Amino acid sequence: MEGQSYARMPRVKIRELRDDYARFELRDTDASIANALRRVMIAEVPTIAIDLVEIEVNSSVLNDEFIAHRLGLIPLTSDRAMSMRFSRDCDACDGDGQCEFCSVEFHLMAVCRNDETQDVTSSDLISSDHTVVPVDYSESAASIDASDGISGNKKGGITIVKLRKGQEVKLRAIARKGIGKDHAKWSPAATVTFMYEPEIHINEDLMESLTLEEKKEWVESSPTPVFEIDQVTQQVMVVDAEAYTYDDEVIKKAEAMGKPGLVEINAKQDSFIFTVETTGAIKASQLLLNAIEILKQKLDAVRLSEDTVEADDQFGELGAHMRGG
Amino acid sequence: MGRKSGKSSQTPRMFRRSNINKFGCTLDADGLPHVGQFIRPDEPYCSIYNTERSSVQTLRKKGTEPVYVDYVAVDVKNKKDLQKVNIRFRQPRNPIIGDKFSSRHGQKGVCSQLWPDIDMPFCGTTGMRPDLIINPHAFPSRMTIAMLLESVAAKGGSLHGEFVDATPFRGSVNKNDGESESKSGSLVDDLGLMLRKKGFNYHGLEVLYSGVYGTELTCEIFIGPVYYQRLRHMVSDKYQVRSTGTTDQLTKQPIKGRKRGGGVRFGEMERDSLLAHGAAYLLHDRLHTCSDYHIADVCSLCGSLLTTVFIQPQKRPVRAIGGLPPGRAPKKIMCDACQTSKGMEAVAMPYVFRYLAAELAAMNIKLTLKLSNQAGA
Repeated sequence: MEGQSYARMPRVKIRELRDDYARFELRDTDASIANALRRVMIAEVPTIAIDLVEIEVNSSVLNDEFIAHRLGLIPLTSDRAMSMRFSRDCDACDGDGQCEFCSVEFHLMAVCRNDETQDVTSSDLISSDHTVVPVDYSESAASIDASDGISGNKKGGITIVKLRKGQEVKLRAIARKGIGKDHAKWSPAATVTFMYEPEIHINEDLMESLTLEEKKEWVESSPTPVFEIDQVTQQVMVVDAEAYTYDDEVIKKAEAMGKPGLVEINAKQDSFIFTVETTGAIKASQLLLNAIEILKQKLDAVRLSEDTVEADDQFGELGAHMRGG
Repeated sequence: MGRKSGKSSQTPRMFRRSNINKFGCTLDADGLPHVGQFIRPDEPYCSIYNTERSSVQTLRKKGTEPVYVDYVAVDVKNKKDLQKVNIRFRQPRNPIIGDKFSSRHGQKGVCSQLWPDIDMPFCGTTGMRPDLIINPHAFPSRMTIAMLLESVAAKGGSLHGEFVDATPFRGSVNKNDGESESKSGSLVDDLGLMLRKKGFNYHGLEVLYSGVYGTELTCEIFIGPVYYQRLRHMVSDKYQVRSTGTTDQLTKQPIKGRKRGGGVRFGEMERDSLLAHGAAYLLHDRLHTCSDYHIADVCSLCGSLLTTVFIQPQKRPVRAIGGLPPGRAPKKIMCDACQTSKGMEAVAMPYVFRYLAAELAAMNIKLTLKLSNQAGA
């Protein structure tokens, strides 16, 4: 296999980046890569979540499994997850998942002594590791509330169970590393999606044959604000191509108006616009980096190593290619 | 799952644990399980003490699924000792293939495939992935328009963050009201406009991308929130399998019934199907080999299969051959009617055939077989 490499050099341009939200462009690559990235982000980037619950006292209205399930779904800050071990292949504890390398212990003790209903929330969980704690947006949410002039409830966190007077919950929980493929509670992604970048060409000559009324009608036929009429020149312009959802509404409208070919819209096959939202377990930027890292590891597992040359015969040229030849 | 036990006061029985093997017993001292206890099949869930015979009887969990004790209620009307309890079991059952689900419009169906989340199609703009996909062929014949309306209305309502009025007599209400939405045509128009305002397709359609390939699906797909509920018909209560097992005493055919480990009948229509396919060996396997295969001894002289008699060979001193188990002399068979063992043949047949011959004989009808080596003779 001489020469010519088919490798492309994808480019990433970040549009918007917050702790739990990212929007970026991915260019010069294929749908397979974009989708692989999406799938890995949802299902294979590890996080930490409560996996084992030992209930000592539970006199609440919810049964043990119900509470255990709710505990599992609480997102925990998982910046440590990539370097942690899976408890199933942890040497230190022989796979029982109780050591510091593969697990984090939590305690929850709550008794209601008042006449009012008491909320037991994720902020009542006491962690044995200060780097792994329930995700809490109450501070940032409180600042938003304050700016709105609404006082949010004092205690943040995710409600686990509500207690009446005299009811008690006391338990020990073990959080472990896992991936979204095993259980959705380990998925760090709330939303990962991409769309193809649209290319919109307006046939100017045909467009000018429309009256202003018709133009307005046509522009309004799109449910999303893709087009606009210039106040001065009264020309139809594309204001936000990415708002287009490939619903073909405007094309159908043009045909209904007897002007087929008024606009031509194509999806660029090699540019994608990603939207990533996380549960807060890890930062959106970290989620992307971790996903790329895991994708690389998976590819390494597929690629044949140097010493398996004897497999060359059965793979032929493909074998050489896989070894990077 | 309720369970009541203990009869009225005539039998001196009460709930109590056996004092003998206290440590091996998972039950509490009152002979009842504790709430939250995990009980596997065949494990005891309560024990009853008979004061008259001073014996302890334990009731064991039937079935094949392990359960949790959800609730134990005790009847204390009888002050002396426990005579009546109510134990409720609970089993965790995640949705699996074969479980039945329904929307609120009678659109019920059975889960046919569980897919990983990442393989489900997704919406490019919102990132929404459906929880459930229903075949559109379910709608035309059943005419459950309400489900489609629910979907659109719920979608519009959740986008706007408001409740949607679902009364079917809305048109008449509006007329009395007079002012708001006086021009409104159909319900669909209102709902469509709700979606439109939020930048969604008027009809509730969305462009989805394949979760497996990441490419755009060729069809636009109708998607929206619909209230779904699980029905109580679950496969774990219904599945039935059998390879070998108990057979009927009279016919030696496999018994029926899920509880008894029986089989599913391979009936006439199934038989016809295999016949039509010409699957002779499979048919023979189902109807004969796996059913009441039987080798009968038939007398070829008189043609009877009921007159065979076994002759016990005279007991000879058994010669022990170095280390081998003593050889068994072959059973000798003779025809009682012909008084000879000549012409005895072994013939494979369904056991019911022999039963038929016996029944006929009881009615004074003789059934004879003509044996031949040639096919079709």
